[in-house]
Order: sequence, then structure tokens, then C-alpha cells
Amino acid sequence: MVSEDIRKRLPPGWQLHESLGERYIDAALELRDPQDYSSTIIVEIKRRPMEAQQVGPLLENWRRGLLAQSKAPECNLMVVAPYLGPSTRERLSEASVSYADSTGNIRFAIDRPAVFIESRGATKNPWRESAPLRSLKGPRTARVVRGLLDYCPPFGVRELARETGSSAASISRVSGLLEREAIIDRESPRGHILSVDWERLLHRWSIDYDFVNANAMTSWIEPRGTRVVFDGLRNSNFTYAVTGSFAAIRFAPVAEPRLVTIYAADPDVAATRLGLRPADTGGNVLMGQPFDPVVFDRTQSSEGIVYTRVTQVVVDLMKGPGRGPSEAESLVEWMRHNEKTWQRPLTKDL
Amino acid sequence: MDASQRENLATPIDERLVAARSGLLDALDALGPLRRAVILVGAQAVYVHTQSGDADFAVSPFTFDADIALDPKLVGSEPKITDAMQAAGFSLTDQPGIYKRADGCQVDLLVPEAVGGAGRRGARLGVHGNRAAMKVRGLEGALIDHSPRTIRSLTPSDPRSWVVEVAGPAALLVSKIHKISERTGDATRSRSLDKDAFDIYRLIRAVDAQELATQVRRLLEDDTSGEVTAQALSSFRKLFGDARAHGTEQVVSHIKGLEDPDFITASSVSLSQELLDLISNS
Repeated sequence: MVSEDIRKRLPPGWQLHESLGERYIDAALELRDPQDYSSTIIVEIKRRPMEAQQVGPLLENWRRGLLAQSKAPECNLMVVAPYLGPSTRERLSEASVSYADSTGNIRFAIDRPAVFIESRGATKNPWRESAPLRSLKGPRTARVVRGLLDYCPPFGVRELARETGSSAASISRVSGLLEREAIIDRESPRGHILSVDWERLLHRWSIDYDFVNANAMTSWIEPRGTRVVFDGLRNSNFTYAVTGSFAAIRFAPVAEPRLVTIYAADPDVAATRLGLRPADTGGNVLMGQPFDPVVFDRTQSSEGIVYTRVTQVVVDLMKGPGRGPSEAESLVEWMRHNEKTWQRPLTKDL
Repeated sequence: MDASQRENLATPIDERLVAARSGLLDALDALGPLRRAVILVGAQAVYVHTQSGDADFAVSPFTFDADIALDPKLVGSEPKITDAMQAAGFSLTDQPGIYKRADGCQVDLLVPEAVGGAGRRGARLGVHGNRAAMKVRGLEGALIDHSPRTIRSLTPSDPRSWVVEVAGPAALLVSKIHKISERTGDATRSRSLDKDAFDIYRLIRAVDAQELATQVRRLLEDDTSGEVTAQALSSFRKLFGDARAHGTEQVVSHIKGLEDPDFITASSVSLSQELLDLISNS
């Protein structure tokens, strides 16, 4: 097939034949000009698109194999692959290796008999499938997950992308995983998201979510107690949102909280303004820089305090310290009975 | 502990505080014109300064006693102290200055040692005799650091209130430290001091540290209170300076099972160090 592409570009009278491969060689071509000069081209056939970083090792391999057969000096080399990206092609050219891919990228340069054929095919890999998402780790993913949790289905991917500031591609990747795990339903592979099993989504998210480390949570103390922390937050002018038990107790009957958990855009500034001191033990404030600003999205304010949305609170509790996981259960119970309260319609602001 | 448990705890304790306040008002009534010499000290004075913050604790303040300091310079000759107290139902016990009533109320009339005259325990109060009030070391600061406050009944049906001088937080801190440090090492009396240690914690937590430091320095510079204040600060550092210090442990022991002991320890040490730093740097 590839040899056919080259053959039809050769001047009249030239011939190109496939000859049998040998040891170390996938295939070989024989090129013959009208004066009967001929040359052999050793061909490496790749079944998958070749990356630039594979060029070096391939050349090394060839060199060793061909040196073993004392053929190195007179050899013409060529790579054939379904697709060769621009940097792969550049590396091959630099090494004087001919190439051809099935999108039409061809460089066929032989010294004796002298021939030079070059043609341009695709510059992007037409076979690229994004590697399927395997986990819900990471900020971009979390932004999509929060969107799926916060809004009331059905909704379109584009609407969700717009509302959450995510790309449609991110949403598709996350949706793909969640569809495979039967957590969401779509009307068709590219269609609307019809339903979201938010409870299973929360649990699925919590498997991959590392609250303490992802948010670089550190322990602080306000020796005069948590009430003073809230007074400070009420009068603050920095970006923050309270999560954890103090956020949960507004909805669910959890034990009296002792630890204020705060997301701050700049934890050092927040700690200074609040007059907090670092605490090895006995801290009553846990503060961290959020893994993604999504924690500041769709927050809720109550009595002058900004709280993260309940969907964020619950996953933070699931992976939080102390009684967090059991408090998360109480909160999920509340969420089951109050879907209308916490789910937002996608198009209108509440 | 949840809110309902806390409520259950608080209710009976508050009743004891109500009774103690009622006894204090009875004593103030009885002292009549001698009230001008009165400075409220002890736990009830602490609560005047800490009440806004006391809601933060699972342990409610409680006390059976009313501690009243007398400034000998202002004590007039009429009425006779012991007679007035007796008229209100308070009988002098076998200890000078300690008065008790049949209902369990106790009022202690105290005079700072530095102005209490000669004698070992009873203050020398002229016409009132040597047993009407007890000499106590560490109360000297109350003579300097005090301000008028309205003391109201805690019973809704009792409309009484008196404006009296109440010792300031710095004076109370110094006197509480003396009380604890004098008795530390005395195993039989030391356990009962957990409440006093917790009163110190209440004070340093509720009162602004800079304000408290300024007042302590004022007491350090005063001739009457300088010595006891310096001594108190040295004891304070030993008793509250770190997590394993005796006073810190007493604070934690008082709230055992009710508050997070790690937090109370860290909080107490942090506040104590902050105060000591401010006193030495201001």
C-alpha cells in the first residue's frame, strides 16, 4: 500500500519491489532506476502511530542489528506507520530515514539511485482516541464532577461546560467513565445527560479524592475558640469558604463541631489576618489551599459566613479527619430528603 | 457532646451560681455604708469579666462562695461588720472572715495581706476587731485594679442590683495564681484547685491579652502590689508555661470528658505564653 504510494510518484522507468524481510527486518524494498542501478531499503513497520521519542531507540536497534550483518554503510532506512507526527517526521529526516504514513506523509530520499519524493499528509493523528479516564482525580475532573452533582439533570454537555467553565472534552471524558460505571445515563453517546446517581457519584469521587493532601491542609489554633474564628471570617476581606463539620451542622444533626475547616485562596494571608498560630496538636482550625477554585463556586452564605456548597462539604467530610465520615452519612441522609433544596436548575441562578 | 447534653449539664450548675449570687447580694445589703470599702474578688468577679465567653464552654461556671475584699482605708466604723453579717443570717465561723448561712451560702471577707496589719490570719480592722476579715496574700492588686460594675440578681423575680467595685482581670489573675501556687504540692487541697486553674484560663481566654498585660505591668509598678505580682508571674510561668506544667494539667483536668483536652492544653499554653511575652515586651 505504502510502496504503491511511492511507486506512483516515481519518474517513468523506475521500479520499486517489495522483497522478503530478513532477521531484524520487517520488510525490504528494492528500488531500480532505468539504468538498472538498484538499492535496498530496509523498512520498519509500525502498527501504531510512532512518537518522536521512539526514534532514537529505533535507530540504535537498527544500528546494532545491521552492524551485526555488516550492512550498515550501504543501507537505506525507512519507517512506515499509520501516522507520524511532525516531530517524529523531523527526527526521522534528521537521521536520513525515509518514511511514509497512511495519511500521506511521505519522505523518500535515496542517494543511489538518486530520488527524492516528499508529500504532506495529516498534521494531526486522525486515530487519536483520548485515553479513557480511569479516575476522578485532579482539578479539571473535580470541576466536572461538582457540576454533575450541583445541577439538576437532564442537561446538555455544552450547557454544563459553560456553567462549570470546563471544556466539552473534559465533560465527555468524565461522562465516559461515569457511564461505564453506570453512575450517569445519557440519551446517546453525544447526547444529553439524562440522570445522575449523585449518591454513587459522591462515593465514586471520594475513592479518588484525598482531602487532606490535595488541599495541603495544615493545622492552626485560635486559642480563644472557634467563635473568634467565625468573628474574624465575618469581618474578613479575603477569599475563603468554610467546609467540614461547621458547614454540615447547618443541615444535618452532627455532634457539636470543634474544628473549623477553611479553604483559603491564600492560607498564609488568611492565617495572619485571623491571628491564627500553627498547631502541632490541639489545633481547632484546619486550613488549606483548594485543589481547584471550584470550592469557591456556587458557595452559600449564612450569617455573614461563606460556606462551600453541600456537595463539596459532603465529599470533604467523607475523606476528612475524625468524625467526618460518619457526619458525611448524616449529611447524605439529609440530601436524600432535600434534593430540591440543594440541586440547582442549570439555566437559572437560584 | 451535643447541645442537649450540654443543656442538661448547665441547668443544675447555673442554679448554684444563682444561689451564690443571691448570697452575695444579701451580704452587700447587710454591709450598708461599708459597701464603699468593698471590692468584689474571687470566682464571681472572674465571671463578670468572662461571661461573654463562658458560653463557649461545656462547663458552666459555678461557685458557692462570694469573696469580698475590703480596703481597710475605706472601712468606716458603722455598722460593725460581724453584727451586720449576722443580721443577714451569716455567722462567723471559727476562721476569721469566713461567714456561713444555714442555706449553705458562704461569704468570705478578705483583706490583702500587705494592708492587713500584724497578726497571722485575722486582719486588724480597728473597731471591727481582728476576726471580722481574713488576711490573704495575693489580693493586693484588687486595691489598685478595680472598676464599678452592676451586680444583678440572677433570679428573674429578684429585682436587686448593686453597683460595686469589681477587681479587674489582672488583679484576679494575680490572686488566683497565688491561691494555686500556695497550695500546690499539698495533695489533699490540690485537686480542688482545678476550678481555680480553669478560672485563670477563663480570664486569659476572655480578656484581650494586650489590655491584661498593661494592667499587670501597672500592678508590677505599684508599691503595694508589685511584690506579689512579680511573684505571681514567676509562678504563672512555672504553672502554665508548657503543656506538662501543673496548672495546665489542672485546667485540662477540670474539663475532662467535656472538651477536647488537646485543644484546651494547646490553647492554655498559647494564651499564657502570649501574655508573658506581652508583659515582658510592653
